[in-house]
Amino acid sequence: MHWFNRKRNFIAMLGPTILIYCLYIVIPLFVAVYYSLTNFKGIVTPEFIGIKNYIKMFGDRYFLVSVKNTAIVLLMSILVLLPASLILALVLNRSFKGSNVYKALNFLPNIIAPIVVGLIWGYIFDPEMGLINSALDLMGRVAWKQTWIGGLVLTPYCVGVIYSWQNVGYIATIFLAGLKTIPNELFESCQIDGANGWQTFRYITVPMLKETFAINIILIITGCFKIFELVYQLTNGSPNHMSEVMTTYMYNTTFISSRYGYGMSIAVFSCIVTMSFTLIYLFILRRKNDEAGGLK
Amino acid sequence: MKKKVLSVILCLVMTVTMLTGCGSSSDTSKNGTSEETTGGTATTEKTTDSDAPVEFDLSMHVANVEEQEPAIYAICQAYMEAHPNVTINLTGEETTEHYNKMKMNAQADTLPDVFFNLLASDKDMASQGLLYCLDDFIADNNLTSIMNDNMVNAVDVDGRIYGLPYQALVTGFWYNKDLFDQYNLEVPSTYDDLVNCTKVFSENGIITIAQGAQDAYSVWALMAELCHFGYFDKIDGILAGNESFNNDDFRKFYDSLGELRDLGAFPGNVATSTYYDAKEMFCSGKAAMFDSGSWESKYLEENFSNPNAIGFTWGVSFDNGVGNQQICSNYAHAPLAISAKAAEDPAKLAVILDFFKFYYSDDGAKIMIDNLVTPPTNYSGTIDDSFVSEHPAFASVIDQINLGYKGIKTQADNVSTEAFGNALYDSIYGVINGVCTSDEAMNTVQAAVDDDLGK
Repeated sequence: MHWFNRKRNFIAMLGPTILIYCLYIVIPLFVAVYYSLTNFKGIVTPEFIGIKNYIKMFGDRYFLVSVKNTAIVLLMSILVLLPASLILALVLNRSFKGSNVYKALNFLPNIIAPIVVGLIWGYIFDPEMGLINSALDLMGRVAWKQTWIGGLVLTPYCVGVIYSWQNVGYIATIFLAGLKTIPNELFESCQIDGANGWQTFRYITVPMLKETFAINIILIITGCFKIFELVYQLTNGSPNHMSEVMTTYMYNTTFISSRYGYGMSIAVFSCIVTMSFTLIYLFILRRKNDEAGGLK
Repeated sequence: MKKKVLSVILCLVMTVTMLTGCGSSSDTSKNGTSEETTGGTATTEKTTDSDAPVEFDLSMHVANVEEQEPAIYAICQAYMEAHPNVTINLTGEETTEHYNKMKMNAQADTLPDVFFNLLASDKDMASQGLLYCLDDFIADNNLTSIMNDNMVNAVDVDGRIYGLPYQALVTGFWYNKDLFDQYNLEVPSTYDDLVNCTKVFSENGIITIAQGAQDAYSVWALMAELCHFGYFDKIDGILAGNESFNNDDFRKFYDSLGELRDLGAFPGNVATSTYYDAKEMFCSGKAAMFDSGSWESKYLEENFSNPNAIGFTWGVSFDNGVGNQQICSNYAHAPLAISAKAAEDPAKLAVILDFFKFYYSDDGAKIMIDNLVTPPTNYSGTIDDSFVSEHPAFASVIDQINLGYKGIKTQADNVSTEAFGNALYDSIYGVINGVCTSDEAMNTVQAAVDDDLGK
């Protein structure tokens, strides 16, 4: 242990990691910031244009739509994915026949490539040949048919549903790991005190899962801002960028329209928003913990 | 049938004359008049002094070149067979990936020796000194005598040429004759005919025009329709900032698109469909027409239930159009370019130029035609009777070329940057999807123009 505490050895051990981190994360981030301040179009030498790209961004109808869609997906995921994962974890935490098989099955969507997930759900949500509308046709409920994807309204909600479906097993597994760490004695003492199921959940399970909630919420926030393949495969932003999320719009602007400078300003904005959300959440959580004098 | 064979030959000869209205006179003065065209044909001859092994890279825009670009694959094979000391490393990547890779290679100065490129990127790369100038090659081989001015001059940067089209790009609507016959309809030649057909097809659950908005670029025939409203008379002024893309003439085009949309001309799931979905809609008989080009000849002949029912048309004319309505979309495809770095090696450059000579010769053109690709050069050879009867779709393309319509200058999206091109696609699909009004669609393109002008 003493060997690790020596400053020189400490730096030698961390050095390679820091170097790689700087090379592939920190420096590219600054490069992206630089390009966001230029009119770079891929080949010709970029010209410095100050914050013009950022000003233009907030007047760009499609960018604002992509921000709105990302927010809807995030909200849907928090409201649907988080509770669904917790419920699933609570169910899977009980011992029953075949529980391990169920655990594996629930995790399955998470190991499918997002592009394949987009393909599968494309066949379910497609307004013309999709499973849902075809089923509604068969049931004679034509009036219930919707433009689930590719329309102006429902696409981001559907993306939220698909993202939740894909990640519910993963987030539930983290909750499950959290549930396993709660000492059984706490539940036993609750029982002795006469607490019912809801009270046990409310006053024991949830507070003891505080750290797990924090991890999962951060994973959901960062995950939502990284959704790309799903939308790319499902609609590719269609109709006319109205179903874009920030990453797909950034990709489209940068690599399809070759507006690298503008695309980088969207990327930088996206990065700042993600970091802000995460830091604000962590700050609030830490303050609450401090107030409660509990977990730090 | 003999007549038909003759017409095929004639049509290929006509590739030269068709686009004459767009060519500049200065080019003909450099290389002789356009009437001299049938004489000169670049032939394969050995230009290198030694038989020392030489290899060069040729990078294409499709993942599987042998399967997706059989013509260029066959040309490379034929060239290597004739020149055993030459190895062509023919590689390919998915289209978007290829374009992005070329841009990154341009930044790092690691461009492949020869590569397929976007027109806009090619001009940017040329302006940065990354490409080899082909002026001497064109003059030495008298290419202007076997290629139309617009084919030769597609990548003109400050009067110098930095790329040559890898094919002639022929775009329009494929149609299903059986469906038109079934509903007693004529293939539309005017916009009013098209409206009438759409009404009948919609009543019978048939999609009039198969389109797939997920692949936004798949609007070739519709972009050509925009050219019926004086596109090339206005575009220079628009790009210079002297005129607006939002004008009364272009509005007529977008209003027509809106009308067709309202009549149900396009698939209900156009927003979630890809170009390939649209192709399947057409092949399966769900759609009467399909916005595409000559490159689908082979696929359609192999996958259509009745290949003899496939027809090809340039599209429709408009009563309220501007200028000549008998125009066709037959122009230079994206260019093949040689990197400046490759040209630093004299042996390699000599082999590459010799390969180009073969590519733009009658032998090269014959291989393209055999693979149902329209060559960028004027083919002076003969085509067998059996070839025409075996390839009804390709023959239909040739029939349209034989109509002798005036070829438009270039594809409408190729006049400016990629951002402009994408905005143009968005404007068309915006109206088809019902997301934009005509004015909003035109403003989308104008915004891209303003952006390029730095406004």
